Amino acid sequence: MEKLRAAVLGSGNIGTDLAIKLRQSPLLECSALIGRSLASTGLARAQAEGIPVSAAGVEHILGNPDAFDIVFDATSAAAHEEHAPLLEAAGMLVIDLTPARRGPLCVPSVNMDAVAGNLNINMVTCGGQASSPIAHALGETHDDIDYVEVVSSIASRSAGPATRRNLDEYIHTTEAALQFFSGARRTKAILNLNPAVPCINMQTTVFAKVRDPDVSAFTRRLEAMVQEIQRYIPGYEIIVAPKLDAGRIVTMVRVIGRGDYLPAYAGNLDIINCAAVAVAENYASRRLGDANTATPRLRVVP
Amino acid sequence: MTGRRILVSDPSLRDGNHAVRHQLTPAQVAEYCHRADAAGVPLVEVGHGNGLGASSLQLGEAAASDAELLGAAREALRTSQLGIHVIPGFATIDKDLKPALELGVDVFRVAAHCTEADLTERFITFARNAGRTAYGVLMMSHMASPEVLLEEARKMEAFGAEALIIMDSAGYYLPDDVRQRIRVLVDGLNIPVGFHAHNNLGCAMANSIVAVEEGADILDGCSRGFGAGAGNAQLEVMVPVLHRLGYETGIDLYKVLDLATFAEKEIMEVVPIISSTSVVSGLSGVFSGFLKPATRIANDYGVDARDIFFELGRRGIVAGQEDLILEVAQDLAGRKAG
Amino acid sequence: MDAREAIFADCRRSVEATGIERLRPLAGSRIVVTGGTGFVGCWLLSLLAYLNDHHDFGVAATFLARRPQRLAATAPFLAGRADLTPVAGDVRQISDIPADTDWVIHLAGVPDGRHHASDPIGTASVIAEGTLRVLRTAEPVQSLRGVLHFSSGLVQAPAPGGHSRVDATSVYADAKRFSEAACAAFRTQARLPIVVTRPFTFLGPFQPLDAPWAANNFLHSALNGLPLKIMGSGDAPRAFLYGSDMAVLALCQLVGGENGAVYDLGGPEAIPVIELARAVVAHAGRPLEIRTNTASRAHPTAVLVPDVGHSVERFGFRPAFSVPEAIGRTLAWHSRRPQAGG
Repeated sequence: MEKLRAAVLGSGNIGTDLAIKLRQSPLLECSALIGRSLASTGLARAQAEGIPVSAAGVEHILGNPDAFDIVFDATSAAAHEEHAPLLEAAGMLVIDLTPARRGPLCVPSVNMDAVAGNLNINMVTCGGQASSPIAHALGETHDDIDYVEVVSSIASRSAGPATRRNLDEYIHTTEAALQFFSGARRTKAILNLNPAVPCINMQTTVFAKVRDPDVSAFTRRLEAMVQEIQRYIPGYEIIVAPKLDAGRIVTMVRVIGRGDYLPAYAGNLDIINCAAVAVAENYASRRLGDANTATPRLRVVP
Repeated sequence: MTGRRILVSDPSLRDGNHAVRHQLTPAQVAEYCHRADAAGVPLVEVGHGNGLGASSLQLGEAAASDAELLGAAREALRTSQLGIHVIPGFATIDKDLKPALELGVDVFRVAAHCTEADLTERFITFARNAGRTAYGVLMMSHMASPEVLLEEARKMEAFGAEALIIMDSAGYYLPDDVRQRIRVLVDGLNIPVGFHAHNNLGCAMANSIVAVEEGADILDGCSRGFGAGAGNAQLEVMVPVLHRLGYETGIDLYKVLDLATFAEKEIMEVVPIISSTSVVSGLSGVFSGFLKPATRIANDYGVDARDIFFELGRRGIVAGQEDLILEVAQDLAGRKAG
Repeated sequence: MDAREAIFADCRRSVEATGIERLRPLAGSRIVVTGGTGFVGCWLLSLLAYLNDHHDFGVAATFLARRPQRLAATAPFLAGRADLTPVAGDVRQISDIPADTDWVIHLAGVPDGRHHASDPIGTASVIAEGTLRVLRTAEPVQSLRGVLHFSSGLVQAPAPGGHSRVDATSVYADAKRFSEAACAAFRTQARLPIVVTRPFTFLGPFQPLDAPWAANNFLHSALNGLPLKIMGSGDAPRAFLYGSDMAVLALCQLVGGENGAVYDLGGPEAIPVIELARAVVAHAGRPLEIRTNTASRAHPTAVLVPDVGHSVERFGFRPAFSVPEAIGRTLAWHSRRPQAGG
């Protein structure tokens, strides 16, 4: 079976987990996990799994552009701004897991096909991936949404220095996504880090102030969306069904990660990776034609 | 040590906002600040109970915007400094800190859960670069050992914090707990150390005294204890107590007593007491600010609020996770039914 | 006067004060600098460029950095020079250095206390693993005449309160201590010629103004018309050395230092921090407030003062710039830059 060749830029936890996920894909092949230092444990692990690695940074791709169809960028917003134009110019699909937002925001269960023609697709944030489908379902069932608020709680251990240094960017990007997907007039995102041991799973609560709340329509739409989401993120689950509390709609979801490389409690990181792979597989199935169109299904966790 | 100056900081208009579900008005803020300024209270903290930018469905929507509250305070405070409490993850530099700068805030008390000090780096740097004063604040400080608290505090010191405050956000501490922690912090830091008490177990004043005995230079006190849960150490009691112990505060006794009377009559709905639920929230080490939402939700679900608190405590829930109250209540109601 | 002229003028004065003959062993040699784009790296490379341009030293320098392009941002006049070859890479990963290398200066690491607090893992890893890697790489180089390892003045300083606790915020000093142990091991077992230098506090161009040290904070405040803030009472003694003097002394230690010696790298005379603040205010030419911040149970001020007696004696080291002059030169540099006051 023919596969598209993907490079993963950035050999931290996100990148390494992506590389390992790609090995299970029927449509994609990880042609390189790329970092800037062979001292990286991610590269060591990937190498041990037989995945080609490089410490040459983006040069590894730019020096050999015909060897890659897709690039997952798990570096940083600043680095993305630098190398994305070069990658796009070389005709590669760039899937951006940083907050750079050069390309349109994409949440697979919502608008994957709509953005499919772009050569740079932004995966929002982890909280954004968890909450945007909910925001979208709200937007589809309500005409007048005044305000949407998302509160995510993640295990302290799942938040590394990059997340901590970029809290503000995370918040702004998530708020922009909520606004985009729901049409709400105002949005707010809050992130809580909880150090409890055993590590808590990622949990996200969405509140909404709407005119004429229709909880049952929203619930039906949300449940349909969740079915869709669970195709590529099996650990996504509604834990508090939509209800009215003090006049606002509330619902809560939990995301348990697949545990490919990242621990299962880091559902916040897993969701953005699964979403990124879904986008890439969608692109691959279009490029490779009908022969390979199966539902781009990842291994389902029992 | 006698004759030593203690900086008494007054967060009545911030912590107290929890007690009135964040409904303080600019007019109330202005009136209070005017009197606090006259009484010589050196630092007055104003805003939503959870700080700058925290007005939200999760934490409660404020009746007035940060800009309105801070604007009212800034005008009324002539010699007293204006402070804010701010938590990265709720607020951002662009949306909240920059406007606060414009509004003339003097002191930025940047807070994080007691094990997450590294979240505060950018905010502290921002305040410092703008020429204002940044303090580091460790919340729910009972949830870490003294050694870990010191480690986190030293990170904040490295970021440029000019003082380090630990909060007994749940009102969990007994005096020896405070003695141990303040001693370790004072020994291990170069910057002044401060203590913020809550009264859930009736120890707010005693804890505050112990803190200064161990070398704390900053104490938080609220008029009539106006604050979250069972309330804070009472400002108008703290001042004469400190004076009798030989410390200086620069605060006028009669005027601070009048300030408290004013707060009681004109601003507070009730004077805080240690309710049965508050005792439990203190014992379980749960954030005092959860009292009102937990009580309401317990009522809605027909479960005992005390059970909610013990469960939240068992789960190690931190401030800001109010949404989990709903989940726990639902769970308990389910167990009750099934 | 443009940047290059200003920096070279400083280099000239520093070289003349100590005497160029001390640096003569560098002529015609190849030098590798790890971590060349920070304050120390920029001054060392500037000094080498000056020696090449004005004294025909013919030194070929290779510098390794994660992002060598940063050099162009901090010291644009050094970019693109044929005698300064950039190599991009992580110091923990270098596999070889030029076979004809005479000297190695190991600088790689971030001395910023904020970074140590927010990334102690990275801090520990770069210092410990990086030092081991550099020494291993230097081991087989037959032409090697000397290694200068940059440790830290903090290695000799006691922790506040006298505690010797190992925790997240002591990681930098502890890792630097280990790096000195690594040097001792390679020196005695692999017979590498290694000199350790412990840098203290410096003034000069190429330092970012928002970096946490007192000097930078004071300059930042002066340029922005803000109060100068001192952590503590201000009586903590500190010795300051100007950048070009620092570079001259470091090179003297490299080429003339005794094998196995540990030298301090800093100014000869300590002044209380508050005096530095006053000098900065005097230079700023406007009445700026100086604020101290003392805890009531203040610890005995940490003595972080270098002893450069050895250097004065052995190398005839003479700093060219007094502290007031150093302040003036640095303020002038920052005023000239577009981001001045930012």
